[in-house]
Amino acid sequence: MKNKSKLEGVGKRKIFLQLYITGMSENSVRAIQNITLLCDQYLHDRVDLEIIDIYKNPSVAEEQMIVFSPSLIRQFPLPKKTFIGDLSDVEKVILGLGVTLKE
Amino acid sequence: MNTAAAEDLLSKMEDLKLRLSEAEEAIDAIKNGSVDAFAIRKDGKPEVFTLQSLDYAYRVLIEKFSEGALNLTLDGLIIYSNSYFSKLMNVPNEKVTGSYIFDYIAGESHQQFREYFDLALQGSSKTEIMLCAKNKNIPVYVSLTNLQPQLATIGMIVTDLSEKKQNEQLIKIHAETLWKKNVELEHLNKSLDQFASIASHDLQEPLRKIQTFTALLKRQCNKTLAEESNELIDKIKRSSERMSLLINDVLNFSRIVHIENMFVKTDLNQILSNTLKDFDLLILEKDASVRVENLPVVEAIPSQINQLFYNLVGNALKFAKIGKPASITISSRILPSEEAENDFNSRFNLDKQLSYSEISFKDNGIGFEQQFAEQIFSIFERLNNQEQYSGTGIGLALCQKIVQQHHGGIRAEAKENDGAIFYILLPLTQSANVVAN
Repeated sequence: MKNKSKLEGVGKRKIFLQLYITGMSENSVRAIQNITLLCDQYLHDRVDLEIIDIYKNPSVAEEQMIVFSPSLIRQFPLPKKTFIGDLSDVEKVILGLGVTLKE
Repeated sequence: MNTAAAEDLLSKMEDLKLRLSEAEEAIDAIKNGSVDAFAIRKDGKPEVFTLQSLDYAYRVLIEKFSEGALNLTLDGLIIYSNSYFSKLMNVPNEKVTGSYIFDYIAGESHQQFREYFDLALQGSSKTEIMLCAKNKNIPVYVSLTNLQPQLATIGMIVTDLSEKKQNEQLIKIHAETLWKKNVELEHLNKSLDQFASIASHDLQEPLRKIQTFTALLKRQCNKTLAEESNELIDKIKRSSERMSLLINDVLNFSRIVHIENMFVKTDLNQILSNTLKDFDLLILEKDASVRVENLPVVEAIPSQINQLFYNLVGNALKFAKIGKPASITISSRILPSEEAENDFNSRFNLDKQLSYSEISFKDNGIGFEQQFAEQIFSIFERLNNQEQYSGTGIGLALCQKIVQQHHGGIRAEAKENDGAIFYILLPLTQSANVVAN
């Protein structure tokens, strides 16, 4: 059961993720679906996820130096990490987030 | 070996540096806005992506729209919400996107929303539901539209009904208060009518006794009594006759109540000719001429119309000038719709859907000053002294009550010493719910 998977690597600390998207573009929609699925399945309430539409907040994109959309940023724990694309390679994202799964 | 390896690494580093600076330059160019489009290969096919997109206007429209606009996956995941919806829900937009629509539906509406969501998968659906914002339920109207196959999503528009519901609530409260007041008034009216009816009926009884015994007294003692005493007995007789008349009129007045479902097609010519027959003798006596033009057929209560005509013709004869033949003209016309709203008629609350007949009773009698034209319809209002013109002061009040019962109106025009015209407005048809089958 995937829901019973345990997390390692980031320990018990909370993970703060921000997904920057552009409206309802195909890749944005896919990225939203992938990250919510990933969070629901592996991270539950240990993750704080914000999805930010850079069409609505162009200045935020500039502050965060976002060039590509969609971009997922792990704001915490440090160091900050950026993932570009629709996040369809779940394993790569999990690995990148520093989370290892153990059955 | 080492030098060769080091050189190789150095040259690789140079190469990477070059590529990095190229990439940075490209990124800078994009950042500076000096790039319009990307020409790239995707799935082996060349494709062009423009940076300033053409859907800008649509995006602004949806975003600034003062209705909630959402785009949902078929699982109910919110992939887009405009700012109106997140404000309505009092949740930051960053948190709304990526959450599920079902989290915002109030418990009582869950099942209903599921049904309409499923219905929308077949095309579209609309319904009223409750949303649940922080600690507060919001009534909304939602419209769901399946955007497949172009998009694998369902579009949702949310209209806040809070204000509308509040207004509806207010209207409901007002309507209830009105209804209660109406019931109270009806009760009050009924008891008043009952009182009048009982009082008049009970008053008649002792009065009849007074009349009987006075007549008896007069017959028995006619010769033995002094002339003066006989006159006193006559005065008692006249007074009691007048009182009887008064009581009868009060009784009649109280009987004109709430007779709904009694309206039938009534030929007013028929009624008037009957009325005039009652006045045969008086018309001869007063040397009166009565001219009648064709009157309409209206939905009315015949007995009441008879009473109405009786009082109006009676008045015209009663208030004829002494020593001058009375002339009475009774005519009618269909009231033009523009006149239904003029100063005279606007106070009658006429129904714009209905046609009205205006029937006028014109006489050449003593008339009255126009300033009394409204006062005369009040109960017990008399303009003339009783010596010359007998009456109880109820006649015109009765007329008004009858006309009101028929959802019409009555008004008068007159000049002192120069005749009077009474205008009656009657609807040709009554609104459907009061007409007998």
